[in-house]
Amino acid sequence: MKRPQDLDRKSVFVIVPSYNEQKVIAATLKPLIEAGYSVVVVDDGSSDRTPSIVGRLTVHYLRHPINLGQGAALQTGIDYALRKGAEIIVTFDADGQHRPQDILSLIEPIQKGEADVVLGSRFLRYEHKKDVPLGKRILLKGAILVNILLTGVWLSDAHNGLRALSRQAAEQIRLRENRYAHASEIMIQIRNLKLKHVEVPTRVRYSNYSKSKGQSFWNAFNIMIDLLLRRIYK
Amino acid sequence: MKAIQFILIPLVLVTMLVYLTHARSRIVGRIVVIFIGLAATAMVWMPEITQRVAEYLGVGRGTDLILYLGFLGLAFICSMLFSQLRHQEMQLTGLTRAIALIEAKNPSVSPET
Repeated sequence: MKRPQDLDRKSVFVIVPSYNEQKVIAATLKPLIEAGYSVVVVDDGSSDRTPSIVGRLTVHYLRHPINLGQGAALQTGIDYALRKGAEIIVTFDADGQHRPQDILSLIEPIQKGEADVVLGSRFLRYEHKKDVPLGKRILLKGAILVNILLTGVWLSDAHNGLRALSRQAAEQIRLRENRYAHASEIMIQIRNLKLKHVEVPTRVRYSNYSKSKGQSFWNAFNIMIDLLLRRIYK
Repeated sequence: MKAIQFILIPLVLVTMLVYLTHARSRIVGRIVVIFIGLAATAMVWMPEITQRVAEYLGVGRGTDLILYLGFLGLAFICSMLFSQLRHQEMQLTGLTRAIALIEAKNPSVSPET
């Protein structure tokens, strides 16, 4: 017999965009499945064994026949989740950096009607600063400055893939940046659509694996140029 | 100010403006290409023309003039191509997404024990 809270969790769709993460994808997905959320894996054209690994798990599985980028994968996942009646949509990284238990703090403000968009931040609690290695911290502080210039929104953590959207917010947001500029694009749209947003503290877990996959310094320039081109060419 | 500057600067600005508003307009691109073709034909047919026009505009040599105008034309065409490319990428994204949504698999329900 289903308990009322199971039904609630099934209306929370956790979207996990994934590209060639065969080593860690199963470990990332299992706790999410066990927590009772509706898990949506968007395979962004992986060439590894991701499809067969994910095929054995109880998740919604979508696959881009070609690799488009994390932003595109997220938008595909959002479209799907809305079609399936999602009330809350959570974006969650495939590499195991995010903690499943943080999802609860993410959806709380939405359930209470306090916000349309909830963003995870690694830097809200001083003690948690040490989670992030110094070099990366400096890079991320720079990202915050760039983010303010580009989006006009101040965040304590401008590049955190852990977010929650209410259904209404997800219906209005339309990500057109396929690659990493989507993180800034989402903030621009949140500002333009005047969506209520709030940050909540989340922790991050770096393993050697996920550290090696972090964003390079040059990506920041790529993102800025992408957003500039978007303004010119529309 | 040399005459050529009076011509090139507004031309550059107009180029930017025109393409910004009609970035993928087929006719604008075609007009530019036709114009370049006609101008090139004229210059090859009567090479002295470039020298005379260049002197009139305050440019040193006819070949310099060809260089300036040629560069402008190429920049314009590249810009249009780039705009087309972006549009195609957007269409590709839409197609890929449609396929992903059509082929989406629901979770295989494991039998409850």
